Amino acid sequence: MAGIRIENLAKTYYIKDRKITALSDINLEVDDNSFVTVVGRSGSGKTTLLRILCGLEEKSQGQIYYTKGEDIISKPKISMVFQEPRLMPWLTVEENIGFSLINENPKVKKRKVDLHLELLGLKAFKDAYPNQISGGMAQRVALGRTLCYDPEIILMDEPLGALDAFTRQNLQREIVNLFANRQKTVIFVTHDVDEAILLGQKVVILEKGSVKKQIPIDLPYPRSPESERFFKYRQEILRTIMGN
Amino acid sequence: MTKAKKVLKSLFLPAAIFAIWYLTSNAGILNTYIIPPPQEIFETAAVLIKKGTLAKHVASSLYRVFFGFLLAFILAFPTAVLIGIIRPLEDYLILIIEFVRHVPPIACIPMLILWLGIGESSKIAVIILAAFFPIFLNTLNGVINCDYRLLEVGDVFGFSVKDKFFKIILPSAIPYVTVGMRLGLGYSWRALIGAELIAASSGIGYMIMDAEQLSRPDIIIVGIITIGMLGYVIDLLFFSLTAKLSSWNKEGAKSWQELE
Repeated sequence: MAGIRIENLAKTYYIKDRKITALSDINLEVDDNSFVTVVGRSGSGKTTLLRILCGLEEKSQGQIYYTKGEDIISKPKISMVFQEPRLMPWLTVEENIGFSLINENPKVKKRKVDLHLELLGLKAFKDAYPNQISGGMAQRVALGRTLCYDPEIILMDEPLGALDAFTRQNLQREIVNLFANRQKTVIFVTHDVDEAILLGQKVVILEKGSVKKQIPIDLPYPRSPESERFFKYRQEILRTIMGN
Repeated sequence: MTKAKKVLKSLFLPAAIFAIWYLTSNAGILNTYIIPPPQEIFETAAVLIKKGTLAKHVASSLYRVFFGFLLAFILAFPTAVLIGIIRPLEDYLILIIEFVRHVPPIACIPMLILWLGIGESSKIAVIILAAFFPIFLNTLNGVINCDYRLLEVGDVFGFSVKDKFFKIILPSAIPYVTVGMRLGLGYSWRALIGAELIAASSGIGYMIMDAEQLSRPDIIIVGIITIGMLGYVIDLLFFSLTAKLSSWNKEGAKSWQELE
């Protein structure tokens, strides 16, 4: 388990000599074993933040520390679930789940893969290829693949963004269940305010590349969007994003 | 449509051609010296098969194709992978590749005979020239068109460069590689017959050439039919052997001809 402390993080890049600021002056604390959701309009820098955290992009400025309690530790195992499932089309569901375990002993690998097939309800589809399963099922496989890798920090970039409302609801519920009993730190990016409140212990609102507000969500899981307090959180977040 | 129906439909036109050929040549409309009637072709084929002549020529042609094709693959595949991974190499090679690619292998035969003689090596060199480019270009295409999003998956799982190559780049290039091999096999078959027509002492091309000297159009036609049928059978065999490897790729990798 590990947390993240981000200090003065900035990211700029150039498109045809025009300087674009994707992130500026990000200061953020993510406790170990916490579930943090990040919301914001498109272009607010959510994806860039995740891509920097998992090393797919370089930061321009600032520091990222990994923490355990009060101590600073070396970089832990971090992985990411993308918006699209990004499964290997030539591998079956089962092989995709175990994709990250390349140097693992075959017996251990089999056990881990079986466990995650079971956990995500994919047993019946284990021999199917990605083009034979639905989008929701594919995203489930992608989630299983990342869990099987067993990182200490999981970054999720709108993993449910492309799914229909029903599949989405089911998977939201499953994600809550999956992480309730696990020692994992999760940063979950979404543009859906309800999803952010449903899942996060803390909602971070990003705007134009900066943290606009951080709102701790003090609601027990599983949360219901119909409750009054949920409604109040939603109002608060929407007001912050809309700017009034 | 059922498979049997499909086969029947595909047989319709060849059967019609045979029927017309049979009727016109037996009715004395066609000059049987220029186009012998079908029954004579069958008789000649039967004799050639019985004497073992056909088998001997087919065997030596097939041996050349497979040996040459294998060498072409051994040369083309690693080169393409290397250039696909180390892109700057392409800048150095582009002119030579484009130049050689547009020279038909048959045009090189006189030089190859001069250098290598009329034995096996010149035929194999022709096949290498013919099969190299389809394998090379399609493999290259497969390697450089690897989806960067899949490579990022490798990155987030901490894959090394070697892991990414063997687990992501190579498998995703397989459909392209097999398309290239299939094209290369067809090309090498055609180029070989050309080479055998010019200088050889065995092979189907030689059999045809020899028949011309002896004024035996029936043997020539048997040779042509053998070439066509064998080419088709080789392609079918290769396809059925490799279809499983690229079955995940529904759209199918585009051949370099389609991409051009």
